[in-house]
Amino acid sequence: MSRKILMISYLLLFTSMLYACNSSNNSESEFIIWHDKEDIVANLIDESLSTAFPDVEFKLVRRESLTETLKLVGNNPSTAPDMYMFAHDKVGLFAEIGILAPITDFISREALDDYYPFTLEAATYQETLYQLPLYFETLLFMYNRDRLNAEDVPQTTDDLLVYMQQNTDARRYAFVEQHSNAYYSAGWIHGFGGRLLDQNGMPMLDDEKTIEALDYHLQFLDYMPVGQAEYATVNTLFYERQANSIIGGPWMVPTARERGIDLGFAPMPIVNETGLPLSPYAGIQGLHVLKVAVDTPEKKALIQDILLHLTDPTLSIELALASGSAPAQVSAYSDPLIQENELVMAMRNAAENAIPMPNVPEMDILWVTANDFLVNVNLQGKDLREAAQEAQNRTLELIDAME
Amino acid sequence: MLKKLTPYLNSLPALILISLIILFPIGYTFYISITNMNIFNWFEFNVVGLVNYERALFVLDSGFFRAAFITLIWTGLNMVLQLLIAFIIASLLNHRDIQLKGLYKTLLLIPWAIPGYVSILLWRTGMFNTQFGLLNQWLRAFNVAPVQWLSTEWLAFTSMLVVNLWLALPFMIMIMDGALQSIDRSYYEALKLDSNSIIKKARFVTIPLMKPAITPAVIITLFTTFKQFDVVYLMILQPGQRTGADIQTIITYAYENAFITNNYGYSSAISVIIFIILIVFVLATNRDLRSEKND
Repeated sequence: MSRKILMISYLLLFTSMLYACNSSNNSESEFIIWHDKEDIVANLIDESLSTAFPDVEFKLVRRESLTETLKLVGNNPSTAPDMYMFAHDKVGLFAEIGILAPITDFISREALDDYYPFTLEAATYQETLYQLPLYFETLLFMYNRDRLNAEDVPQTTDDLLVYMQQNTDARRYAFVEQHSNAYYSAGWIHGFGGRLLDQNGMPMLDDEKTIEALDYHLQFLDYMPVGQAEYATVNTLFYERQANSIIGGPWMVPTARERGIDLGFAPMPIVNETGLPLSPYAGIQGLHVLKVAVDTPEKKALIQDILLHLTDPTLSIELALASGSAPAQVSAYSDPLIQENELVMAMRNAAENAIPMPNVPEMDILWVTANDFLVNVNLQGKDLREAAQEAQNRTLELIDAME
Repeated sequence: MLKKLTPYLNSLPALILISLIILFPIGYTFYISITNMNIFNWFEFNVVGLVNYERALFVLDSGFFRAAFITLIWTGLNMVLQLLIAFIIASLLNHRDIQLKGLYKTLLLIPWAIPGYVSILLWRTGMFNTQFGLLNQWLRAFNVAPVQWLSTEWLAFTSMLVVNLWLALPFMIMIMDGALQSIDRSYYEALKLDSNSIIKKARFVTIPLMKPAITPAVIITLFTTFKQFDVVYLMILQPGQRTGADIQTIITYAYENAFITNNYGYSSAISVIIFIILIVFVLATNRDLRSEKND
């Protein structure tokens, strides 16, 4: 009996080892695309590609830790996908790791003439384009029309402060935002002419404009929830009608509408001192091709056809109407359905001032150090200049440790 | 000859599995720690010797030592409270007059059945959230100003301690319950001739006889509490969701000062250093426990 169990153990062990060695993700007729999007987006892409290429079996696989998984298997032909869909901000990281194929290896620059230049610039790392943009997203100034009339929406940041002072009480906030999150604070810093990273990839946390922006912003904190002011809390305050207005992403819109909120969209307030609007980051979502996918001339031809098919704005329009994002192609905005869609048009208008997230690998560090800097200043009340200097030094040390 | 080899052959599948699951990752981490694996040499890295260890020593600055001190306090307090509370609950569960023991035991195991990640986030948002958390709802009902549970060091530390106890107690209660049930009643009856004191029963019978059974559990819990990451990170340190409390354990400190660099050689060197610290800590604790046992 024990001999049988032993034999079974050996068999199981070696079978699983052999399976692990030989397991393959891809078969000849399959085309695998990893993504981290909601089902509606994945289904529309699947439908569009499957209709255009009926002989190919497309598999859109949702991966929660997409970027971490790609780091590990991005160069393994048996486990890596053929393409992945994600925001442009990881382009630099994956280009440095060496797993991305340039988009211009497959299609010409002329095929991209219809795209908003900023979407292509955002996906370009060291003068090479690594993403075919589909749509873009940015933060919006949203308000509850039942609580705030369109004509009373603050036009400037000083107006916003006055509005908050007059309308915030124990039961309700006039305005909320994730004030100690770098993604949200970047809009204020940009509004003062500052940046988190300069064009050469140098951190600018101790820059005078950054300090000026955060110093000015401190007075707004008296009228916003302190302590936990993260995604869930801030959004719930708006959904529960305990906040009249918010700076939030388009992903909030479906839930807000489901809760019966009469949603209004307004331009970002203008900073009185600089005359610039609050300018949040924009994220460009699109498809990236993995080097390991291009293993045969036939596969290269297929990828070329897929990318060319996706340059047509039809899919981007469908995605925009379904998910409230803004198409990356200029011609998409001639579509009457797009023109009638308040959210999509608000997004496009906001994108005129939005700044694409930097795509350099150093941003991974900056998200952490900038967030810590904001917490030190906004929540722990540390001296702004000292905290800025400390954050700048730490960022430089960590960037140095990347190599 | 075959007879001599049989035990080794019998345990070979298990040994291979253990090697693959435990020894290989440790060995591979050490190997990576002596290479230049970073985003610029991701798939084609070379052995560079102990360079990463030299750089890793820079992480052992005042921030690291503060984190190490907090980690010791965290581990010590957790252990004392876990042992004490688990002992009291397990003793109550073994009281002969108590009804519905099975139901209580099942209820007490619930925290163990829920994934830790979910439990921690439920505590964070459901209990401690400043705006919507249950604790502040209760305070508001009594016209007391809401408290920022996770924003100051002491409150955040206490809140995290409560969450960790909630997560860890089922394991300790289960071990202690088993240990209590294994004690022969005749020892208590023999002691009864001398004294009927509960304290004496615990001191001379219960605790000495439970020790061999709970020592492995204490060592496992010490290990897991010392290298705690999830409770601290998810409660107060998530990017973009930090609460303002300045608390780091050595693992979270190392994560925030090395792992975000995507320099795996450097991060692995820090992991190896922490691993050595952990081994020393556990060996020292184990020796103390053994010497107590021998006494």
